[in-house]
Amino acid sequence: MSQQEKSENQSAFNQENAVNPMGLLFDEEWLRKAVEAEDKVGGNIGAGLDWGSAFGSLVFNLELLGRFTTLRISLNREVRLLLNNWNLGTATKIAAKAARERILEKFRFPTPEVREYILATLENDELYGEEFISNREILRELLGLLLKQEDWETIAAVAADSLKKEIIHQAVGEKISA
Amino acid sequence: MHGSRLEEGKRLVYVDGIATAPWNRAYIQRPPKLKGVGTAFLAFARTRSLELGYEGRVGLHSLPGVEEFYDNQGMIDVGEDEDYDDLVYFEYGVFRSPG
Repeated sequence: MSQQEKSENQSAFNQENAVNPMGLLFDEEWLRKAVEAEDKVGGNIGAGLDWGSAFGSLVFNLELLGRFTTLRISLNREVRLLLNNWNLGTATKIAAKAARERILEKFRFPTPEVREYILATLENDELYGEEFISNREILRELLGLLLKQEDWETIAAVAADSLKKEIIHQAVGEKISA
Repeated sequence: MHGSRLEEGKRLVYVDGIATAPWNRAYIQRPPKLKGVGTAFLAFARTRSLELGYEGRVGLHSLPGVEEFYDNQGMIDVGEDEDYDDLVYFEYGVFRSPG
């Protein structure tokens, strides 16, 4: 290829990628760097919430996946706001994490009652359209169905254990404990 | 619909999920069958964003351990997001040609 041809090709490439990021894929240098970046993480490029194997078929129904995601993050947010109001201090974050894990577990293995409520919620078009569901009443009602007494005891135990470890760690660090 | 976290009031294409096929992951198959697929997905998302009038804005939550890739792609690290299981949120701003 002559220098002039190379220059013309480069010019054509610049014009294309100026309006279309897909054009970057034809830039060898750019693509090489991108592939190097992929190699650094073992090629395991991934994004989005982990649903586990129980929800494998969700990827074939994108609208349902989107609604499930919206419902899950909305419940995560609702339980976080609830715990924030309880002034649990440093235990808040770990309690919220434990609550999120309990919620996902209930999604994976729903009781008939929970399953019915979730399906009804997923079919309610009015709830979806923004990143989070804004109807907090529905979210609170669903949280009440998902998180039972034993779940709150698990959440409390995890948070208490975390706090205990933190206190022991601090005490050892301050050389207060013999 | 998701809004930009970098520019309030601006819409973007939010990527609900990206998963790499097992035969393209180095720790499962060496050498991987294909490379550059994740990069192509992101380029497609940006193109779609331009088509929709969102100026190339794209957002996603990175899987743990892959943050470095999105950093390298020039996405902005907006930080951990508690409501998304502490995944790190990344966002592309307005697309500007590197040329």
